[in-house]
Order: sequence, then C-alpha cells, then structure tokens
Amino acid sequence: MTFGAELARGRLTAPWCPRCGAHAWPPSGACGRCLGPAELRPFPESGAVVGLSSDDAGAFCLADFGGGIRIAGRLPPGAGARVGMRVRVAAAGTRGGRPFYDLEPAGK
Amino acid sequence: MNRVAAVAGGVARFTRGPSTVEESLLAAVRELFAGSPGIDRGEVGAVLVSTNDGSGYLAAVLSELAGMRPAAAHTVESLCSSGTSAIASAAAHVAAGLADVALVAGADRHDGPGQALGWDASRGELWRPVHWASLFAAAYKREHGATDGDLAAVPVRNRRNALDNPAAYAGADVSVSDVLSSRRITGDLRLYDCAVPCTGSAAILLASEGAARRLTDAPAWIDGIGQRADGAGLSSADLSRMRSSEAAGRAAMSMAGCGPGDVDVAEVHDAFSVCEPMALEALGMAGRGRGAAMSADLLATGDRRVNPRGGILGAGHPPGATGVAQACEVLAQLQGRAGRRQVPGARTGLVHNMAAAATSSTVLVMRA
Repeated sequence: MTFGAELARGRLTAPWCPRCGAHAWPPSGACGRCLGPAELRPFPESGAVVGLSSDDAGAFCLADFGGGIRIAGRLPPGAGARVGMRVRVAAAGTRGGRPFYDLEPAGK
Repeated sequence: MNRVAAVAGGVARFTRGPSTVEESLLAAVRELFAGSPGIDRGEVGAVLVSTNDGSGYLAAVLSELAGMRPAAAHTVESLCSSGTSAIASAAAHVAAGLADVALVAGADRHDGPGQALGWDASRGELWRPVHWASLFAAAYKREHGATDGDLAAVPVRNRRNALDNPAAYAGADVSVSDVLSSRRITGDLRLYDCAVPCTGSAAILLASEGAARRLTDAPAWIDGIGQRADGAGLSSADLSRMRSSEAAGRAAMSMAGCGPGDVDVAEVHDAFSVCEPMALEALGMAGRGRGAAMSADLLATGDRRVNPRGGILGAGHPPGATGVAQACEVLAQLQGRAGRRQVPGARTGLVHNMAAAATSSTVLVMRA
C-alpha cells in the first residue's frame, strides 16, 4: 500500500525508513536521507500549530508533528486556535482527488 | 570562464489576452530585436525558454518561429523562479564557452499551470499560493509586530511604479486605505496584496565579453549568481523568513564581491505584499524585522530603487516571464534607459526571484 492509497481510504500514515530511521516527508515511497524504501507507520498522535491564518471556510494552520512531518490542515470553529496549540488529526482523506486534513485540539 | 553580460532585452505587454505561449514568446523576441536592430539573430548559439506551460519542445519551436538555428535549445521550468533559473543556465552556457550568445525567453498564460505546486501532499487542500502567503503574512506580523497597514505600503508603491511601465498589467494609483478596504481573500491577505495572474513574456540576450563589447556599448555584467533549493514541500519553508533567498543572496554577492549596501536598484519577488519585506531582509537590504518599515520609507520618499517596474504586484505575474522581465528592468536601469522609472546613477543592480513559498531562490547581481 502507498501513502496515497491509504489516504484515499481515510487512513493517514507516516512513511518511515527502517534502514536509517528518518521519515520520508512530504510523503514518498523512498527515504530522502538514504534512498531506502519507506514503510508506512502510524501517523504521530499529536503536533503543535506553528502557523495560523483563516479564510472563508475557517481557520487553517501548519502543524508540526515532529521528525520533519508538517501538514497544513483546517481547524474547527471555536477551537481557540493559536500558535503553539497542541492538535491531532480528526479526519484525513481525499476530496476531488486532493488530500485534506482536519485537525482538532489534542486535548479534546 | 568567460565573463557574461546582458546586452539587450525585450518585454511584451502583459495582458489577459488570448495569446498562446508560442505567440507570447515570439512577441518578446520581436521586442528585443526591434530594440537592438544591429544584432544578428544568426549569432544566437543557445535558446532557453522559461515557462511552466507544459507545451513540448518550446525552445525549438521558438527558434524556428524566430528564424534561429542555435546549437542548443531547451526549456527550463522552476515555477515562479523559472526565468531567473533560465538566465543562470544560459549564463553558465556562455561562461563555459558552449555558446557565445544565448537568448532567454520566458512566457506563461494567465490560466497556465505554473501558479501552484500540486505535488506536495502535505499541503492538503491548502495548496494554493494564497495559503502559504497567508501563513507568511500572519507569521511576519506576529513575529515583528507589523500591521496590515504597514504591509499595504508595498502594493501602493509597486502598483504606482507600474503606471510608468508600459508593459505592466496591474498599474494603479491606489492608497493604503484602498488596499485595506479591498476584498478580503484570507484573514491576512486582501485583494491588493495578491499578484494578478496574466499572460506575458520577456526576453533577454546574454553574451560573452568579446561578443558583448561588439553588440552594445552598454553591457550589464552578470557578476554574481546565487541559487539555493532547500526542498519543495511546505515543510521546508520558514514562515517568517526566506532562508533560500538568504543563501542565494549571500552566494551572488560573494561572487560579485559586493554587499547589500552596494545595490543601487533591485527587483525583488513580491507576489504577495509580505514577500517584499521578507526579501529585503533576506538580501540584507533591511535589518531583520525592518523590511516593512523600509518599504514604507520607500513609499513616503518616492524612492524607486526597489521594484521600479512595479514588481510582480504592479506588473502582473506570468511566472515563466517574471524573472526575465525583472532582469530586463535591471538591464534598462543600468543602461540608463528606464525613462520615468530611472533610478539616477544606478551602477549595481540585483534581481531576486523565488518559488513555492521561497523553498528555492535565485539572485543575480548585475553591474554597468
């Protein structure tokens, strides 16, 4: 299974290299450090908001989940969004062929 | 290595018209040779096309359309910094002796595919440039205490500058309050903070020292080239500074043996308002966190040394043409033929261009 195929089924994973221990991110089938094949690991439990803005659909952010993994995702209304806030992935998948990541406060 | 100079440039008017990318490329080449009738197209040994259009074989197509038979003809694509990347490659051709004269022509259409990076899955549904630019603006304001009003000086000045650029698409006499009352695009960007996609083209001719001295009496020497690619994904970006531009700027100025204080005129990448102060800081032309104040000072004093052609906000943004048009402006400034846009006494010029949330950058230092 690939990252994209898993995501299309609503499962967010983190490609990881068993040879050198680095994450292959942005998502890739090979490790950018040693070029070894990456395997899919569970996505990190929580991350921190490092950038925050909004549009007509609400707040969106860039969140850092460690190990070089960052994703841009949306936050729900009333989440009290702020830089530094701990978040987790509430839902992920694809819409119209593109990935989406819905985040929520990690303490929820 | 051969010393390399820019000897002639041509910019076709940026529009929202129906021209194909092939027609646009040819229009810029016609402008170039019409402005330099003494230059024989038969001397062109390399043709590099800068575009994100996706049409195949464009450099060979352009060569045929313009009656040239160069030894080398190929295309360079690097999203918004395609044009400066192509100039760097063409300069390398000339410096290495692979060509004595090289033509770089850049073009894109307003509806072309070069406005955003679709590959990066980590951006999710937030993959359009307004999303990273909005995160940039929010981070810059938060880190440096800048306001929307501070950043509004950038589109005000650059759109006004563009009124004196006959090739510009988005010139306008707007005020800070016009910017602040324009339609909200995101929580941190308004309509006037954003560059306008348009169709446009530009071309520039590079030559070895011997050829340059024969072809013009006012060459602009490309004495410094710096490039840096830190990645492509948003994970590689720093939201409040352009690290790839810092590295590219240092490399270009080191090669040229100059510093930011020596720069008389600069075209810097301002696809969104916040980009100009971030670029000025990355290049060392403004202190950290002082870029917005510098942009405001330039507006207050009528100083045109930054983005005299109107930058990207004023000229419009056909990505494949942008870097070439920036270099054409600096060439015109150093040749003293920039008309109402002329920065008096400009001897050293700088071109800064970046792509995809500043994950890569190219900087050129040019001297009269």
